[in-house]
Amino acid sequence: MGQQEFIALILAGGQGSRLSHLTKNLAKPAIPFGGRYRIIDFTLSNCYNSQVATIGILTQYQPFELHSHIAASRLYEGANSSGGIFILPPYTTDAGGDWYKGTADAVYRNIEFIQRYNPRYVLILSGDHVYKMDYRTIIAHHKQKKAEATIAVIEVPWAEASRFGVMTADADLCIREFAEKPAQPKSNLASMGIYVFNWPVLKEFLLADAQDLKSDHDFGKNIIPAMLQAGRELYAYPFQGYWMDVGTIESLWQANMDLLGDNALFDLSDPLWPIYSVDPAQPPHLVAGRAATRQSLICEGCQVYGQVEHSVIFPGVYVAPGAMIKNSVVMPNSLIGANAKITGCIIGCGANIANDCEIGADGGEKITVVGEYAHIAAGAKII
Amino acid sequence: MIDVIGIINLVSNDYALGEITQHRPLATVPFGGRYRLIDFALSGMINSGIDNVGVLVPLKQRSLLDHLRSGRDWQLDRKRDGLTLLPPAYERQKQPSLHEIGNLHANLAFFQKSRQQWVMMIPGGIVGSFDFKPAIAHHRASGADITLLYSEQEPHEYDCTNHVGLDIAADGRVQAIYSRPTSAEARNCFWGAMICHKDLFTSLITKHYAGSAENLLQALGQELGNLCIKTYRYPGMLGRIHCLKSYYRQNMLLLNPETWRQLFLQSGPIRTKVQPEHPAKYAADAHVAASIVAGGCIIRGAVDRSILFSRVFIEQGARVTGSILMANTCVAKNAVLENVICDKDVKISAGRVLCGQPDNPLVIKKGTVM
Repeated sequence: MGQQEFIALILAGGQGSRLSHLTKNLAKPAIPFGGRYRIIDFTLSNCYNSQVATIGILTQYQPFELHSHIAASRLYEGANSSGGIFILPPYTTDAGGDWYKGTADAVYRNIEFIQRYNPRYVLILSGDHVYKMDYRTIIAHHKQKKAEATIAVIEVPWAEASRFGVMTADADLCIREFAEKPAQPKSNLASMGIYVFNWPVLKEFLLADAQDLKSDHDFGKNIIPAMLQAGRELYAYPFQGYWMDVGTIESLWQANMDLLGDNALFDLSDPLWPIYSVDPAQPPHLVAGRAATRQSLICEGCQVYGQVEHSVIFPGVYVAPGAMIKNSVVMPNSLIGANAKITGCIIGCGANIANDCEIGADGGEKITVVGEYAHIAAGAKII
Repeated sequence: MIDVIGIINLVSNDYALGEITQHRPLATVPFGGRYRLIDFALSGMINSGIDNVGVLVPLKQRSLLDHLRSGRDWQLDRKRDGLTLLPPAYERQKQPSLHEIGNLHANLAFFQKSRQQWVMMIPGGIVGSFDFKPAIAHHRASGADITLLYSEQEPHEYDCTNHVGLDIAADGRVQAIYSRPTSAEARNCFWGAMICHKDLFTSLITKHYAGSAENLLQALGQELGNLCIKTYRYPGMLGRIHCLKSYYRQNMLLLNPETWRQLFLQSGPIRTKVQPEHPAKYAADAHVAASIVAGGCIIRGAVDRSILFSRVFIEQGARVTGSILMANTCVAKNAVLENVICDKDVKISAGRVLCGQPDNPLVIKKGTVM
């Protein structure tokens, strides 16, 4: 078997329990996002645009929609010794088997897959982040620093630093300290959960971690601290640009809102960095004579008779006359009845909001979520 | 999966739409915001359960081959059957054949090796949400040698040439085929779709290849006395595109929500070549009404009763009314377009005013910068 310089592994098994209704039947990376995408499309498109030849996707929680989405996206032709996309679920052997017990355990259990490609570097990615990154630059950075591990970091507001894994690095970006969700953060450089490892080094630490009964088998909690403690060369790669971990209802809503406006924080229309997805095979959308559509994204197959303002409307949504959608995210094939008012909401796939409903409130702190395929009876008020 | 070979006949008047068909066949004329005309015929085949489809390729074929590629976007890239391109005949010392009999004769091998028993041939310049299963069942039950599909046309549809009328007897048999019909003769409009047994089809092609018929229509006329040729009235919506006027009108019909639903949501999806597009983006000052908008558009101006294809940019202050803007059209600030058809890649500079008439739209050639 020949050698590839690097391969990518995408961690896509997370449940996303803080996304409540939305991840009941699907894994977090499969959540619809930005009109015609699913969250994993951003990482997959980054891989494709960065010419990553081999991608392993580690799945576990509710994988059916995720698997079929990856298959239907047909981003890579074939999967063989020269590369492609491989789905890597937990499996059993003659010695038994178990679920993936953590991010590091998931990679440990696929050592043989990685060994097939015998890469110099392994890129560990997350399937639930929205961002654009050319992975060739982080690999180049890793090589230039002669690092054994490189961690992508982004500056976050100090007030929020305690929600992240926080890095303290010297002027040369060499990492001195790492603290997972510290109460008193010493730095505002947050780990993005994107790592480059020299494969032999990672393998050594994975094998050791697997023997440690007390370990959570997690990259952030176990592998990175162990490498620091062993005095290995860890470097930070400072990332400039938009990045969002879509882990909560608020961040999912916010990341959708960040796509709107003339100077959107996150631009989906860059021809040099297209985001690929599965085409919904639906016709161009119809905006009727008395409709009003402003500051919004609207997708194929929609029929808009009412008003849509500052919202993201996914494919196949029907907006009846007199309906008013504002500051909201409306997922595929939902039906918004006549004179309904939807404000500051996330409406799940295939939901049916009957006439005259009033859901959500403007300026409300909380986002109102209507679960997929929910039916809201006519005239209901949910605020 | 049904026992039928589908043939899409793209041999037609290659200059029917003037400049729009200068560099492309009728089959790849953009339509309805994201489609090419052939998508409706191809999707009709798939949605009718026909998955062995041969396409009679016209002489102008670059854009057709680029569009179809392996047939994958129509789920026709299969291990067995799927899409087969049937190129025009090449014969020494002879012009390439400009009609379908020569083309079909050059591709008889395709019919011989196909395992299906029946042949359903349809033209490429039609718009509709087709389900051919009832027509095929009707043919097999009727005992006819050949079944021709027709639609009953309203008189105002006769304003264009290229109509073929059928004189149908009480027993359903075709008595005459009128290739330049009077309005009385054109009532039963034959739109180029036919069904027959494969063996009869290939023997007719072989016979008329050596005969005097100039095209398939003439050959059918010559066979009226020999064969039992019957008809099936196609009940669904059918748009025929054969001139600029019919092209513009059929596009504009889609702005009626009822027609939009009939075409796109009735008999399964209309598939087309897939390109990665971001969702259409509306700015704060966008004013869009009674229009259809494809992926990749960015709208900052006013759009009324228009069709925007992929990646159309409408700048602030621009006004677009009654127009068809194909992929990559850019309309700069304060430009005004009324009843205009912009072919692909047209750039309209700031402040330009261009007007056509609803019954005579102004066509801007592909790639023009104005």
